[in-house]
This record gives sequence, structure tokens and C-alpha cells, in this order.
Amino acid sequence: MIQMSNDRFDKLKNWVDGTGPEHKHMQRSQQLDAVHYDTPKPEKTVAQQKASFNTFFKAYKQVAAVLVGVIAVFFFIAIFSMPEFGNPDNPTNNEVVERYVGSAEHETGAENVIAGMILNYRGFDTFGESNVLFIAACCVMMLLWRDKKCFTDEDRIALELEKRHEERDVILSVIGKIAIPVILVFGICVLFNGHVSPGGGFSGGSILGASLIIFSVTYGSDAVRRFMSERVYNIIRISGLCIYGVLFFIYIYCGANGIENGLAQLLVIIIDIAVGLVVMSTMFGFYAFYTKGEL
Amino acid sequence: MDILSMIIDHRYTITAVVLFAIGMITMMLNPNLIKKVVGFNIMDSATFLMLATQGFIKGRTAAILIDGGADTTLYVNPIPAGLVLTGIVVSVSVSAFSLALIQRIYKKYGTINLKELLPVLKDGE
Repeated sequence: MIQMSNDRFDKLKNWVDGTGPEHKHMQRSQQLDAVHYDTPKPEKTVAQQKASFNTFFKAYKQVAAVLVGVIAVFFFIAIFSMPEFGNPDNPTNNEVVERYVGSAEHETGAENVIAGMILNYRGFDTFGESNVLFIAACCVMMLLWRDKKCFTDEDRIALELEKRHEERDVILSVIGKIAIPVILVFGICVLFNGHVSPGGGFSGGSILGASLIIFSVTYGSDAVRRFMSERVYNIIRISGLCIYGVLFFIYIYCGANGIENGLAQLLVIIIDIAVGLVVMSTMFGFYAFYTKGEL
Repeated sequence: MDILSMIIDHRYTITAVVLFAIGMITMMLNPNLIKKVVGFNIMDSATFLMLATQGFIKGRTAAILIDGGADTTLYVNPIPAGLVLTGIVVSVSVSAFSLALIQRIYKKYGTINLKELLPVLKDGE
């Protein structure tokens, strides 16, 4: 009985493993199949690969040129059916424009219609823009942060040598001493007057970022790190975005157009400053990560 | 004569289309990755020029109100300006991201020429 069961067990085991005598012909057929159908293709040599790439690039060039030509021709045909340049009766100058221009001041408190429009009527759009900038700064940080893959030992030695031989440029430091405060004050002026004059969060933030970049070039990154460490930088970025989000949510929740004129103006100014903070930190972050890989 | 006056009337739009074509052909045909980004930025500028042109109205000034908006026929269309602002932000972000990617590619492969890069990439590296 035990012998029988052992035989059966062996049979079963052989059947499962495919090693029994009755499976020999099957294995053979499998081998034949393998020989017939799975013959490995001969490896392409480097020269062949190069040739195939060359033919691909030739065809790609012609196709791309034709494609661009066709698109340009279609655009040129479309131009001549477009309305006249600068005509007040054009379909683009419709009732929406009249509504924005006519009621921007007493609804948003901003004399600059564009600031009132992008921060109040189209506030969600600008919130999305701020998020895009924030995420772009995050991506650049991820890609260029000084880690093992991005910053090799050779880079470290080169940087140390550069630091040792670094001398402060006289012209740069003298001009910087005069120019940096002026640029800073101008940037703050543009940022705070965005609702009554040309400017606003994006332009003011860019000017502030430029002044920070000049400061960093003139006095070195250690001087910047004294007041803007990584922690402070992250706090500025995130707080700008959070102020915008919270304030705009409250504004929409309160019924948007129902609040007083003075409050609406205050809202536009604060949101402008929040956008300016995000733009400033993003601009400075781009510079810092591209040149040094850290703040 | 008719066509000439039409071309003069649509000069900004024609410039925009020419710039767009230049940028697109640079982006598609130049094997250098950084020059591709430059072409992309030229394309963006063409789009902004086109949008700004659509908002202009002859004989009117920028939309910064001096009389509280009582007379809406004094100002140009403010909407394209807002759209251009959006476009600029997206363009800056995309350029920064792609340049960062290119820097990493250069650090890993030592080249930013697409013709030298593609065979290396195809080896499953």
C-alpha cells in the first residue's frame, strides 16, 4: 500500500515537474519549438545602429520641415480672415470687457483693472499660477539638490578650490552697495502699489528676486544664508501660498461680490503681497539651485 | 495694392506667425537640447505678441482707471494682458524645469546633443 502510494506520488511529482519518461517527446517538441521560433536575433553592430539613426534623422527632418511649413501656411491663411487690427468693434471687445472696466473699481477697489481682474474675478486662475511656480521650484530643487548622484567628489573639490581663490570684486561690491537698496525699495513700491499703478505681485516679486540675486552675487551665498536659510526660504514660499489660498477661500465663502469696497481693496493688496512672496522665492530659488545646488 | 495694405494692417500678427514658425522649426530640428528650449521660448513670445495684439484698440490707453471707469471707451481690452501673464508664468516654469533636466542629463551622459544621446539611451542605460 505504502509502495503503491509512493509510486503514485513519484508519478505525480514527475508529472508536475515534467521529468517523467512519458514527457520526453513533449520536451523534445518544446525544444524544437525553441529552436524554430525563439532563435535570438543577431545583435546590431554599432555601425548598423548609427546608420539606422541617421536614416531616422533624415526622415524626421523632412517630415518636421513639411509639418511646420503646413502649419505656417494655415496660419497665414487664417490671418487674412482675421478682424482689423485695433478696431473697437472687433469681436474680442465684447460686453465682458465693458463689465470689467466699468465695475472693477467699485467691486474690487483696484484702479489697475488688470490687477483687479487677475486677483479678484480670476483669482482661481492666479492661484493656479502660483501653484505652478511653487511646483516648478520644487522640481528644480529635486533635480539639482546636492546629493550623491548630482554632486560628485570632483565637484566638491572644484568648489572648495574656487572658494579659496575667491576675491570680492571691488566694482561689484561698490555698485552693489548703491544699487541693492534702490532695487529693493523699487520692488517693494511696485509690489505695494500694484492696485493703483502698473505692477503687482508678479513684477514686484521678480524685482525683489533680482535684488536678492544681485546680493548673492556681490556678497556670496554665506551672507544670504545669514537671513535666508533653507528653513526661512521654505516658510516664505509656503506661507505665501497659504495666505492666498485661505484669504481667497474666505472671500468666495462670504459671497465674493457682497463685501465692502475697502475690504476688497485690502484683500487685493494682501493677495498681491502673497503672490509677490511666492514669485520672489521662486526666482531666487532658481538662481541658487542652478549655480550652487543649495540655498 | 489690396494685399499690401492687408499685410501692413496685420503686421503684428504676421510677425507672430513668423516667430512661431522659427521657434517651432528650432525646437524640432536642432539637436542641441538647450537650443530646443530657446526655440520653445521664441514660440511662447510669438503667442504673447499675438494675444497682446488682439487686445489693442486704436487711440486708447492702458486699463488703469483715472475716472473710476465711467467711460469705458477710454481703455484697451484688459483680458489679453491677464492671459499673457498666465502664459509667462507657465513658460518660465517649463523652461526652468527643462533646463534642470538638461543639467542632470549632462552630468550623467556628458553630452546634450540628441544625436549622441539617443544611441546611448537605446542601450538600456
